[in-house]
Amino acid sequence: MPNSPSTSPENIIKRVSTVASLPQIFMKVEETLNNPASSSIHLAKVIEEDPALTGRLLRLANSAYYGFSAKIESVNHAITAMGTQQLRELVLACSVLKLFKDIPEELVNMELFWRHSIACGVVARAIAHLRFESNIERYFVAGLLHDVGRLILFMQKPNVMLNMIQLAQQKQQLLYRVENEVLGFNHAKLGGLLMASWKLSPRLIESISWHHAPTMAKQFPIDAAIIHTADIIANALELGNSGEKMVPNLKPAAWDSLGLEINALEKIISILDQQYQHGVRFILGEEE
Amino acid sequence: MDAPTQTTQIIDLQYLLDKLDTLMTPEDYLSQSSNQHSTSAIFSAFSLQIRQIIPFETLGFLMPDEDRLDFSLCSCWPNAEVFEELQSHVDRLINSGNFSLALDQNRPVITHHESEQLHLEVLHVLATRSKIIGMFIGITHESNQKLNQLQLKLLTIILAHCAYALDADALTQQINQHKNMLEDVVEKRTAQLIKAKDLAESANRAKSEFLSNMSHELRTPLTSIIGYAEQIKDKLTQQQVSKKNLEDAVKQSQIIVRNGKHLFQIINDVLDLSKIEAGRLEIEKFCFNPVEIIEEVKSAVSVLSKEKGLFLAVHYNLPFPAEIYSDPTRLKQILLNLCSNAIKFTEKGSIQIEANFTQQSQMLYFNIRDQGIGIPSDKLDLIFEPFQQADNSTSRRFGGSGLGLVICKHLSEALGGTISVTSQETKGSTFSFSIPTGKVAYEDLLQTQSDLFKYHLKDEQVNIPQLQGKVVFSEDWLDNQQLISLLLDSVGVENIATSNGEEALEKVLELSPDLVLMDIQMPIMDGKEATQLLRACGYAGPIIALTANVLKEEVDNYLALGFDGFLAKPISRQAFYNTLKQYLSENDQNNTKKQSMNWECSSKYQTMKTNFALGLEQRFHEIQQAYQQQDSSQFASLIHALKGAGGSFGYPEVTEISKQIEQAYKEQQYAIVERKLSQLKTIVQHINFPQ
Amino acid sequence: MVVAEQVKGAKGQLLLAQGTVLTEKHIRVMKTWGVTSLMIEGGEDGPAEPLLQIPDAILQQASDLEGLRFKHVDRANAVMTFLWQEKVKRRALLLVKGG
Repeated sequence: MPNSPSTSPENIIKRVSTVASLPQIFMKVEETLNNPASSSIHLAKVIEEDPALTGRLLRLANSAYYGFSAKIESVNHAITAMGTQQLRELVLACSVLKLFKDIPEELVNMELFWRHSIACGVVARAIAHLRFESNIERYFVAGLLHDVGRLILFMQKPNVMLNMIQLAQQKQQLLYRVENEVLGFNHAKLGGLLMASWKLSPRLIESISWHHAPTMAKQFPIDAAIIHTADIIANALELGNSGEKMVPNLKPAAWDSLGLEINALEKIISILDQQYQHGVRFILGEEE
Repeated sequence: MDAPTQTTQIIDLQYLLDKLDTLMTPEDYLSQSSNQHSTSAIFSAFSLQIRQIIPFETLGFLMPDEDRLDFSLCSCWPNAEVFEELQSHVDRLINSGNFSLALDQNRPVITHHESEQLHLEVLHVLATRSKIIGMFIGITHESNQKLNQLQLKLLTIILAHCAYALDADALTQQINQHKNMLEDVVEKRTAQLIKAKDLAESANRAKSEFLSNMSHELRTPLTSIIGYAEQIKDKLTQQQVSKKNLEDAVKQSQIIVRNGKHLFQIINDVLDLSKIEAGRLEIEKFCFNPVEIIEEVKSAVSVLSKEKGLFLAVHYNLPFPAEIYSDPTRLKQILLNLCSNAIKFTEKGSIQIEANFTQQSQMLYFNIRDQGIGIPSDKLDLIFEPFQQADNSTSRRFGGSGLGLVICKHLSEALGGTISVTSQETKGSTFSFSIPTGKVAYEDLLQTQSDLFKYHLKDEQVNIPQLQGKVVFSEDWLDNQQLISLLLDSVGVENIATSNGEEALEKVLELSPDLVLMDIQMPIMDGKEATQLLRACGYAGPIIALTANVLKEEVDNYLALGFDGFLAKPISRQAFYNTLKQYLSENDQNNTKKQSMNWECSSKYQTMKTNFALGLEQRFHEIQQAYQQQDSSQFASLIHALKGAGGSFGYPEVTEISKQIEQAYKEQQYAIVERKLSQLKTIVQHINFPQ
Repeated sequence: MVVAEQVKGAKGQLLLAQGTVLTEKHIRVMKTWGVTSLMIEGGEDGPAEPLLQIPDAILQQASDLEGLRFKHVDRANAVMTFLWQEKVKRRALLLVKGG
């Protein structure tokens, strides 16, 4: 199907953003943080207005996800431990799920989808940790949201999606390549556009837009490389599934740009094993 | 600049730019790179930057210790007095787990602490992308300052710079260290090389000096030899040769012998030394009687000591071994060297040789004591070094090669012993050396002086053994034949002469002699063929080759053909007698007839010698004819025969030149052959018609 | 108290070697690097469960099952090889546990 106006990625996003916008709680957090005069105490207050969120945050803070030596009793304490920036990312991560509710089960198994996304997020965060990044939670968020473009497609173009899935199955081809062939663009671009429409950071936008072609990212190629690598690792280990039946190939240039040794992989996978369940519980809110 | 007030949400751009300006890298620390204080300069510079963003009350930097496990405060501000205070903050933060939190993330970790007032403790890791460099701690009073996002972000950026600066500095220091190390190594190597060069140069100089000394040492006896030889020639070629002339000639010939032997000794020393230096010194150990050797040495040097009027004595300490296992040639060499040195350097007094044996160590110890000029104490160490005499004037005064002691040292060490010296200037020196003897049982030791005396030697002159038996010899040349017959007569054996191989073969098979002496070059059938045939016939008796060719390959060849040994021509009497002794038994009845025959004066010998001289001209004529007619086989055999004969009859110069002619002819160097032939002609003329 | 298993930090650096006798200093080091627990010799936990020996046949089966999924992957790449091996191992373990 050639690029008809209705199927241009920009148009698709336009339709989405008229429906969905970021949850209130997140907007409030953003506002508080954007005020240079506000302190961590203000932030804590805003978060505590949502008890469910608070509960999840504290549970996560006390889990092996963080491995803090002391028990985190309050949001303030959590802020001290993690910093405001990271807390912000966690709030974002927590709230995004609600936006993608009404997707029929026959099309995609949402649980599996999010599991894959969480795995990607955990790995991306682990890589950032090993690279001494200053705010590692934002990589969790980027990993979590990297495939939402596909959710958009499921929501907006279900038939096309079904077709493409069948095609991918028949040809034993990677789904994102089929998307490129059929639509002229893939879910990554779509996801990036969504982030842009929500006025989130260029970092987030680029890392999601280019996660299948990381070397094309102009400003943040390393961030894109991190998500690209994390996606492939999550895929390889088959934690959850976002539609891709096969493992995409790693771009060597992307891996090289991370500056990690091969033996870092062992460390990354070990962190993944430790933190994955906690991430799942945090996002999906289930008991294991 | 103050932070904006609580009501404004817009960040003042100017405020932001102002703060960003502080990020410009302070350059002060850069100029102090690669010295020991560079780290503290870096801390200083960044500490200033940080304070421009956040006005900390106190701050400090920690670095991990060598095993990278524990952190210690390396730098603090404003002064050393805050060290303890900061340390207590750090300790508390480690215990509470906040320190590890800060290590694990690249962002500030802020804690509140209440003591006298409310403090804000800010921890921030110092890390590059790949490793942790250290930790920053800053303390501020909350009442003064609230920390906003911008300040914290800037702090992160500044500390990242700081981490990279420290990393780069550490690398620079490493590089400098390596550079210094390399420079050190190069310096050391250069010094070593210079030293080696100096050593080589001084060794070279020593060698050159040695060579110039040596050439003097070699020329001096030669001068005597040639000079006295000419004297003798003059005396004996007069129209009227008087008895006095003959007596003088004998004396002078003895001088020639002595000088010849001295020259021989020097040459041997030089050859030995070069062998030693090439590591090719041969030691052949077997059982022998040490007393014999010592007495031989005593005989040899007593001539010298008598000449100088010195007293020479040998003491044997009892008990003394009858036999030891070592190399007698080398032992004799050492003793001769040391004794002749002792004599050389002593004007009057005595030379004492002392020998004793220690059962426990199984070593034979020798002390050679002289009363000579002695050796200065600073030269004692040098004396066993090559090419060093006590000083150059010594060599000029006393002669000698300066090699004797070196050789003694090497020899004694090669035998398994040691050598040393003690000395007092003007009083004398004592040289001591030891050699291992191999296993000597106590029972085998000689206990009395009389036991020792059994082994005393006869006089200096060649002792003619008295033997018995039958000897067949072959020699085609009549003069030589007569000579050999005479020699055999003198030892008392029956001898049968033959003139060629065929005759020899017949006689040997007929008579079954005790010994066969077979000349090699003979007409009709030569010695080799004859011997081969004899062996083929099953003849097993001893056959000795008489030959002028004694190169190793040829010797091996003879042995392969069936000969038991060989005697070199010109014939050395001692060697001749020794060979006879090997194969013939002693004649006990004639033991008392120990005649020191003055061999050279016997009339028989004189006749033979004269006959030889007279026949020389004829022989030369035949040789020349053969050459002109290009009859190579005849020429070769005539020259070979002349070579063998000359020396036997007292004309070694004839042997020598014949040898040269033979060699040149073989190599087809005809120009040389002709030159030498004319030299031979001159010699022959002189022998017969002295001018 | 003696360290039973070596202790590594969050980024993989060795902090305490196996067999180290614990002193005050070591405790401080652990706190510095955020290590909250470690294995001590003579503790109540028994020896670690011996690693399951995976029979070759199962490994082969797992390999076959995973083969299709990794079709687009460059197996010459060290990272992908590592991931492939890890996945096959996990698959094999599942097969073993599954029956």
